[in-house]
Amino acid sequence: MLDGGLVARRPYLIVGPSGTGKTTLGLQFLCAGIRNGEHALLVTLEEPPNEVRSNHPGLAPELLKVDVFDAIPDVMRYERAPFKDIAAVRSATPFERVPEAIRRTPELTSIEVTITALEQMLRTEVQRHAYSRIVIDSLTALQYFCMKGFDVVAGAQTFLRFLSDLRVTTILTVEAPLEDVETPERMLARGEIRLFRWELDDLTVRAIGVEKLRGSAHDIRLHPYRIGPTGLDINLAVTISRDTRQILETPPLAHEPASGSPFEPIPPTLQVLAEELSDLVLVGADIVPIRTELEAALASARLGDTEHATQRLTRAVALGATLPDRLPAKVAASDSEVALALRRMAARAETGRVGQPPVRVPEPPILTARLAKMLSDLNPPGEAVAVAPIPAPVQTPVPELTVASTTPSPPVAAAPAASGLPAAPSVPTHAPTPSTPPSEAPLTNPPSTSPPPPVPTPTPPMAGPAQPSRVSHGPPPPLPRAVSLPEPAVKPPSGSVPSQPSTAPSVPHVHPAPHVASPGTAVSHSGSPAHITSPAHPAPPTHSAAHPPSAAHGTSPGHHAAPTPAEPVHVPAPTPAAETMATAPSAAAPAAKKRKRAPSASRKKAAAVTPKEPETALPAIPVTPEPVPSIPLDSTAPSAPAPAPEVALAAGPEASAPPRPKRRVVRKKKAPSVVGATPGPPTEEPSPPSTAPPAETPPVERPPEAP
Amino acid sequence: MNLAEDGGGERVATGIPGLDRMLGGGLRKGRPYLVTGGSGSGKSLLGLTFLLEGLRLGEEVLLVAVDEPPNEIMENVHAFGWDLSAVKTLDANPGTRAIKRQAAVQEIRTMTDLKTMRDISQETKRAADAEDIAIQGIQLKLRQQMGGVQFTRVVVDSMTSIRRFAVKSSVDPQAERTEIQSLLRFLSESNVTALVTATPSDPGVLTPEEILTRGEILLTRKWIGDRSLRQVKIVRMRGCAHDPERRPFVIGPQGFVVG
Repeated sequence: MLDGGLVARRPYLIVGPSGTGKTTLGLQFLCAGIRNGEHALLVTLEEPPNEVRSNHPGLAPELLKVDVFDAIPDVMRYERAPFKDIAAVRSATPFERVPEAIRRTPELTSIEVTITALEQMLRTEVQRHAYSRIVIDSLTALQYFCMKGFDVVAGAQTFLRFLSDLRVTTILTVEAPLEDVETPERMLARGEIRLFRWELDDLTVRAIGVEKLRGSAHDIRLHPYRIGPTGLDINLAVTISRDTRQILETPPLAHEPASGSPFEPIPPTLQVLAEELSDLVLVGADIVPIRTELEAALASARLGDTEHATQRLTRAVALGATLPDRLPAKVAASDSEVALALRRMAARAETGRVGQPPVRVPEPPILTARLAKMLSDLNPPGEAVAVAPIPAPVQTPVPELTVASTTPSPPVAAAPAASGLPAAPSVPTHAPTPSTPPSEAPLTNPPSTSPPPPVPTPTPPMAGPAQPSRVSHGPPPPLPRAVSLPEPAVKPPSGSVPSQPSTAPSVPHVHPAPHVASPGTAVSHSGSPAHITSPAHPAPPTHSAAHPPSAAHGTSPGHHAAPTPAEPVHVPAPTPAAETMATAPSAAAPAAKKRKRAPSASRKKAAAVTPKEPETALPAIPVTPEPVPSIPLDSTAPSAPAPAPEVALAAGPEASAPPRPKRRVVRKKKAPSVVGATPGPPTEEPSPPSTAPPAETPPVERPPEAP
Repeated sequence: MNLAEDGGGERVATGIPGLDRMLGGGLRKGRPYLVTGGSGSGKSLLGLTFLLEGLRLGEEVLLVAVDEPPNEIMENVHAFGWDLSAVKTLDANPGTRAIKRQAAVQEIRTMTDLKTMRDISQETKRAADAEDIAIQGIQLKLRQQMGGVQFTRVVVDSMTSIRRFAVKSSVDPQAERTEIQSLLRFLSESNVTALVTATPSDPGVLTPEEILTRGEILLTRKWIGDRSLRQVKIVRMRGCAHDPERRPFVIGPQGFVVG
C-alpha cells in the first residue's frame, strides 16, 4: 500500500480509535527493523512494557530485542516530594530484560515525564544506540499527560519537528475519537496511516488506509484487515468504500496478472508456503515445525474442518517467515542456488508481513490434495534435496511457460497460482534447463497465452490435483530437457494423480524434443487432443468433423494411438489456430498444444513409453485417495469444456486426462473420469465457448500453420 | 477466538460466565478496564457482580460509589438477593468521603445552606478545589487502605460522575487527566483489577480513561417495539483473544446473564 515502504528518516502517524491495532502495527514496524539488523526503540506512554510484551506473544522473537523506554508517569504524590528528571533516571532496555511485574513508583521520589525531558532522552539514546526506527506510543498520551503548561498543538508541532531533525524513521500513534476529527498534528507528519473501526449493523469492520505519504506514491483505497498472532493481516484484494463503508468487489487487479486466469487456482498462502518450503529445503533449514503444522492442517482438512486447517496454514506461513532469520548467515557470497534461495526468502520475509493477503483456502478436496502433495514432497528426507529443487522449478517454470502453453494443460491451475510468485523462483532453478526449450516453447506458447485465459478455466480445476501434475507439467514446458530431468523426478513424487496425464505428455515431449522444432505446430494438434485430454478430445470430435482424428479419439481413447498420428498431420494448422484463437479459440488452441506435445511426433515413442508411465501413474492415483477426488474436480473443469459439447461423457474426460497412457487402462480409468464427468457438467459454461471456437478456428488455423 | 494466543497471565473471573467466555477466560489481572454504556444499561450491575464474585472467592473488594448513594445500591440489588454488606465502600459523593462498612451506610448530606451570591462564588471556587481533591482523595484513601488490606478488585462507579461532579470545567484539563492517569496507574501498580464505568463520551472527544484502560466493554440497549434488547460487546481488549460479536444479555432474577 505504501509502494514499497515508508520514506526513511521521517516521522509518520498511525491514527485510529483505541483497539484498532496501532500499537501492534508499530511493533511490527520495529520487529521488521530488528530482522534487518537495525536497532529499534519503543517509547511507551500508555501500556506498561511488561503488558506490551505479554500482549504480543506472536512477535516474541524479535520483540525481545526491541528496546523499550518506559515513559509512563509515576503515581502522583499529592505532597511535596523531590521530582526527578526522567531522562536522568530511566533508560531504554531491551524487552527481554523487562520484569514480569509492573514497575512500582519508588517510595521517595516521583518522576514526572515532560516533553522536554523526553526529547532530551531521545537525543541521547539515539546517539548511544544508533536507533533507526522509533515508535512513540502514543502522541496522544504525550499530549494529555506530559505537556503540562504547554500548548498541546504547539507542543506536538515542536515534537514532530524535533523528530525529523533526529533523522530517524519514527512512527507516532495517535488515538482518534471514533468520529473523525481533523487534528493539527495530522498536518505536520509526512505521512499518515489511518485505522478505522466501524460498526455496521452488528458487524465490526476494521479497515486500513494510507491517508497521505509525502514523497511516494501510495494506495489510496481502504482495505480490511484483522489482527492475528503476528500482527495486522491486510486483505489487499478487497476494498472498502469510504462513503458507504461497504465492501467493494475489487476488480481482480491483485491476482489477475499473477494467475492469468479468471479462477484462483492456487491459494496464495499455499503458494507462498510451497515456495518457502522448497527454498528452505534448498538451504537445509529445519522444517519440522512447518511440517507438523501442515500435517495438522491436512488432518483437519480431511475432516472437513476448513477453519482449523486455515489456522494451521496461517501458522505454517508465519513459521516459514521466521525461519530464515534463524539461519546462519552463510553462503552469502556465491551465486549458487542456495544463495538465491536465501535471497528470495529474505525478500519474502521483508514483504510478507505487510502485504500478505489473508489465507485463502480452496475447497476441501483440493486443499487436501495439495497438502498431501506438499507433505509427500517434504517427507522423504533423503530425497528432499533432490525433490525439493525439482518441484520448485516445476512450479515456477510452469507458471511462465504454462501461462503460454502449459496453462492449458491440466496442471496449469497450479501454474497460474504459482505464476505470480513463481516468477522469482523459476528464474533461479529452472531457468537454465528450460531456457533452451523455452525459446521454442515460448514461441508456441505466446500465441497460446492469449488463448490460455479461456482455457485456464478448465485448467484451474486441474490445478487442485495439479500439484502433482505441476511437477510433471513443469517439465513439459521445457519439453525435451525438462522431460529428461523431470521424468525421474516426476515419477517418484508424481505418483500423485495429476502427474500422470502431465507425465504422459511430458514424456512425449521429451521425445518430441525433435518435435518441438518442426512439430510445434503439428504437435500442437495432436498434442492438444492428448493434453486437453478430456476436453480436447471430446470437443474436437463433437464439434467439427474437420478433426476426424479428434473425433476418433473422443470415441475411443484406446484407438487414439493410431488416430493421434493422423491428427498430427491435420494438426499442423493448430498452432496457428492457437494464435488465431487467441480469444475464443484459445481454449481450443491450448488444447491443441497440449495434444501436440504429448501425442505428436513422439507419440509413438511416447506411446511405448507412456503406457508404462500411465500405468504407474494410474496405480498412483488410486493409491492417493485424496488426490483422486481432487482430480475429478480438476478434470471436471477441464473436461467440462470439452465434454460440455459432447454432453460430457465419461469417455470424454477419461480421454482427456490420460488419453495416451490410459489407452490400455483407459476403460478402467473411466471410473475416475466419470468422477470428473460429474463435475464436468458444472463447468459446462466454459466449455461452450471453447467448443464453439475450436470447431471453427481449428480448421482455419490449421491450414495456415500447415504451410 | 482463535487467532491470538495469550501470553499467559492470570485471568480474573467477572462472575458472569457468558462474559468470561467472550473474554476468553476473564479479565487480565492487575489492569484497569472500562465499562461504557448509557444510563440504565447495566454498568453498575456489572460492576457489582464483579465485586461479588471477588467476595465469593475470598478477595478484598472495594466499591467507589460516586453515582448512587450506597444505601440505594443496597436496596436496588435486594431483588437479586445479593448481600453487599461485606463490600467495602468508599462513598465518594462530594462532601462525604470515608471508607465505611456498607452496613453502616449513613444518609448523605447533599445540601448545604443557602448562601449569599458572594459566598456562592466563593463556594464554587472552593468546590472546585475540593473536587480536585476528589480524585486525589480517592487515591490517597486507597493508599492508606492498601497498607492494611490488599484489595484485588475495585470498581469506580462512575468516572463520568467524578469528572462531572468533582472536576469542574474551571479546573485545568491537564490536571484532571494527570490525576486520572495517576489513579489508574496507582491501581495498576497495586495489582488491582479495576472496572471503571463511564457513560459514552461525545464521539468527538477522547477521554483519558479511554486511552489508559486496557480494555473496554460496551453495554447497549435498543428498543424493538416495546421490548428492550440489551447487548454487550467487547470493544477492545489488549492481550486477550476475545469475542468480537455483540451478545445479548438480560438482567433478570439471576442478575446479569449473557446469552
